[in-house]
Amino acid sequence: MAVMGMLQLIATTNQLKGMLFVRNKPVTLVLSIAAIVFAFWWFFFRDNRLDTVMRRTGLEGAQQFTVFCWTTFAALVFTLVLASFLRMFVYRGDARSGQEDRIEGAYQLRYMSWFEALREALRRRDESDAGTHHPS
Amino acid sequence: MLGLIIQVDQSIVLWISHLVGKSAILDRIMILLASDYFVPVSVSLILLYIWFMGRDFPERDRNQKAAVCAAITIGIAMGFVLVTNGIWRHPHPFQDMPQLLDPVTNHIFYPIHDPSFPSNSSCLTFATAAGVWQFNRKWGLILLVPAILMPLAKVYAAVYYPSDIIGGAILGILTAYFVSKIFMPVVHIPIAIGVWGLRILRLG
Repeated sequence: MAVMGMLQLIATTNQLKGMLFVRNKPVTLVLSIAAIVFAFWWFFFRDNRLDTVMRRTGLEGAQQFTVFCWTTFAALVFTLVLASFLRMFVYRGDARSGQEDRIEGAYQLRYMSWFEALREALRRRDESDAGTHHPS
Repeated sequence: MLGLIIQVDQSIVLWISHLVGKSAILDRIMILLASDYFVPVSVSLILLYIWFMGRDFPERDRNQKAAVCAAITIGIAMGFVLVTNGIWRHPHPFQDMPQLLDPVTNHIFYPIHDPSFPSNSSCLTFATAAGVWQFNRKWGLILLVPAILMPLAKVYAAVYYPSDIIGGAILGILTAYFVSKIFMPVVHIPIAIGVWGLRILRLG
């Protein structure tokens, strides 16, 4: 939940519309910070982690790292898939305006959803393979 | 010389641990900061933010290198800590001064089992801050705040001596320098392929 809140915060501060659930910047800011604070509050204050986890088993650093990586990956994929569906079914009318030429990586999500960006990446690769692509 | 360091270490720990129990708010803050989860998870979230941050491609590329450098530094630095721990088992303050175990260590944290020198939490947080600092000075300085606070909370809990903290910090900083100046240039091709793959998947 904290990772999803952080991803929404990243999306709204970097204008990555393809990652956003809600297109309103102040609302997203409030919701994302609330998600992070709630996740931390729930984790640290609902249970005493000292007595329930750390004193009993100790903390395994590698295990914590693995869990964080997997939860981050899952939250990222969930965010991108949900935002893509939202764009397909809810924000359908949005036009791609002001798109920079040959923008690469995650910043393509400024102008399109993750699904569209992946399709664009595949299209570019096909064009490149066919020798028809002319970068501007 | 070693005797003097131990004496100074014990004096500082005894002086700081006298504050435990005086203020419930301070104790609560220290419990949170010393926690094995709070600072590491917060720092990881900040690294995730840094990964996506940047106004243009060169800035984003630099920030992604900062995040990669920090991640590699953490891994290598933890390996160095493990090796050092295997060579020298230095006792914790609560082992040298058992009178601190119940009122201080058990109140704020818990008596950990791995050796005290170098402090792994100090090494982790300083490795992260120094790794990011190699490519992004501003965020490196921001990450220095948790890098100082978490080990300080561990000294407050009588889990580490100040020299353990300093040792961990030096190890983390040196590892970050080694990773950014030697390791990353040498293995830049696999790193570049990894980053390129994430960019193709529009995840970076």
